[in-house]
Amino acid sequence: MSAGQIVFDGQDITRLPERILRPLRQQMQMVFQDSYASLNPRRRIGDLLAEPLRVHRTPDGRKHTPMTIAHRLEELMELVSLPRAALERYPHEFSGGQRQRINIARALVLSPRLVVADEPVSALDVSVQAQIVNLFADLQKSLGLTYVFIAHDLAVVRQISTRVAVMYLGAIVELGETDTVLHNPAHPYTIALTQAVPRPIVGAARHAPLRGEIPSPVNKPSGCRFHTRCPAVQTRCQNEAPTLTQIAPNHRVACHYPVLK
Amino acid sequence: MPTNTPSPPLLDVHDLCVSFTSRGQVIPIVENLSFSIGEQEILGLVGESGSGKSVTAMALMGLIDAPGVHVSGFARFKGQDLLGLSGKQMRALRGREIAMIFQDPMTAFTPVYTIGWQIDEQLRAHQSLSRRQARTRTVELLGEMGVPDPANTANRYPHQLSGGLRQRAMIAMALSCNPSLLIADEPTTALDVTVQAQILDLMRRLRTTYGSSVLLITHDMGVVAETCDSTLVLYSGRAAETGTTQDLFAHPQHPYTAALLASIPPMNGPRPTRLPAIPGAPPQPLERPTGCAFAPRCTYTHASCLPAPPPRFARLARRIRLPACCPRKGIPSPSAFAPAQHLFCEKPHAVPFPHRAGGSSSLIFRCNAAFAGGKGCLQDLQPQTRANTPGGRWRLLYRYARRGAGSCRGIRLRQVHTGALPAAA
Repeated sequence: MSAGQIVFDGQDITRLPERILRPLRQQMQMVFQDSYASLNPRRRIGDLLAEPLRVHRTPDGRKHTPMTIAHRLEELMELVSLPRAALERYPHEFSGGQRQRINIARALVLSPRLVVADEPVSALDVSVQAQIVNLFADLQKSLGLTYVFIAHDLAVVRQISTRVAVMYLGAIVELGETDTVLHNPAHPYTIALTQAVPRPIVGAARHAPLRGEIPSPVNKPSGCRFHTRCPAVQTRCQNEAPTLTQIAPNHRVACHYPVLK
Repeated sequence: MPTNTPSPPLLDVHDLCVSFTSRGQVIPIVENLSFSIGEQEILGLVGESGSGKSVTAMALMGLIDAPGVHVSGFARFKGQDLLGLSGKQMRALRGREIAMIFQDPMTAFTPVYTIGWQIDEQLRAHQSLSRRQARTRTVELLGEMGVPDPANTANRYPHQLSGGLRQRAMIAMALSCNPSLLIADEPTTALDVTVQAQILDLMRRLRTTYGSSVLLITHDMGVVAETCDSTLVLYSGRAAETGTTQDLFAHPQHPYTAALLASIPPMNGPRPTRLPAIPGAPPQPLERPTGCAFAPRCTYTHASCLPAPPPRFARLARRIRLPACCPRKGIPSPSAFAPAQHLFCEKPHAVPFPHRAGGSSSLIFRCNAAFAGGKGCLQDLQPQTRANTPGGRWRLLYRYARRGAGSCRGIRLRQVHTGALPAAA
């Protein structure tokens, strides 16, 4: 059961039938966390990347010709800094970072406007992660993309995003500009989160970690869903659920007692 | 915090090599690894995936029994060599003296027995306790690990617990026989950030409450900085650098350590427009270069990096920084390298591929301002790239330059190829 509304480019797409939604998907593409599981191991990279072009039509309603497909694939390889020869190879022949480049290339085949990236760098080693984060940043700049970048690593989030939405147990608890949210967090959960990130600095000030764990979404706590772990919990929090309220321009928080600076 | 006492280390690993044989080829996984852990010390073993961290731990625990595996070297633990023990002797030690925590507590526990049953079993295997005594101790341990309502939790099955609780139960099991050494293989990787902070807190307290030393295996430099006294950085199965965590983070000596630290996005200060990423990926064990394993990705490669592996540690003196990086004549140590200043060739162009040793070719470089202003730095030039594309494939060819040769803005160098050349792409 789901409710609410998803509006994409002024159009409500929440309840659109598949037939209408499919052409719209050209404009929104996705990159997944597991770079290996998201590529069919039995097909060559060129084949995988060409599929969206075979499925979808050009803006003027014509089919993509093999010539335009081949041309587009070479363009993409250049875009994600992979050799052209990669098109002839299979997914298992690549390293994790290269496979993630392929996934990004596939998401970009149809020149989407929105890319949803679900933990695209969390399975990568730090040194390779930096390459992919840079690639995301470069592509965003050169192609004018919009990202929904889903991640749990706050440092990566800070590096890549303009705005941040912090979620806890299925709801947004804080939303605002990256620097505001990460440097002046107002929600106790965001504060705990920024303090809990292990930083590569020896002797950095340590804060007492949050108690307990995320409750089961099956029976959510009453009132504010964070109240069971909140260090500043008050009686009101146990009964009344806070709504996302604006506390500053471009900064919204779902907390009865936000920490204001 | 351990002090600089002359007491012998608890575990002294020397020249540990692990290799597998596959299709008639010997594949080295861990090469000449030496390190030691003192009493109540937390040593961090850091490296990227495939660098041999877990294999090292498994070798120490005697848990590698794949056919064709070859483990050599020695690991002195309380007067005996772990690598030379029989299966029976090892079993008596494992769990009692050396215990291990795994990354995924779900698969490390048997799903068909309760948590309490499994901890009882380990207690009774090593100590003569009655069922009731064992259970009392189990409940006590779970309580000490911060498990709420330990008596009831002991009666639950692994799938009924959350990830954090499972990991606490795992640590309780590992500590049940008061081991002197705890090997923790990525203990917090599968956990949420807030729960990770709790578990790290617990690990730090272990050495005072239980007197255990910890070998903490992780890929997260943040976890190391917060938890470990000393750190060993592994790269491609070889030790790259070791030292106290404080020194290593403040002044990394090995270019790999420096690059690894630099590639972590900062949480404070201005946001860099681009992260200083390390180009390429670690080599596969079979494709390790004959020289320094990091040379193909290193910004500071020197002629001496190529032919032979870096001199391995003759004997690892404790708490002395030993980067396994070749000495570079007349070159400041990497800690003094600020990458931007020392990127001597921004855009090497017209780089030919050498096809045979002994041939020669000329190269043209354009130099950046930092280089143009410097003197006598030609030895540091790196004709290493074929493609100029950012993030493209970098390939080290070789380096050869005469001090003071060429002009500053555009330099033509005659390259003489000597020794073995890497295969052209």
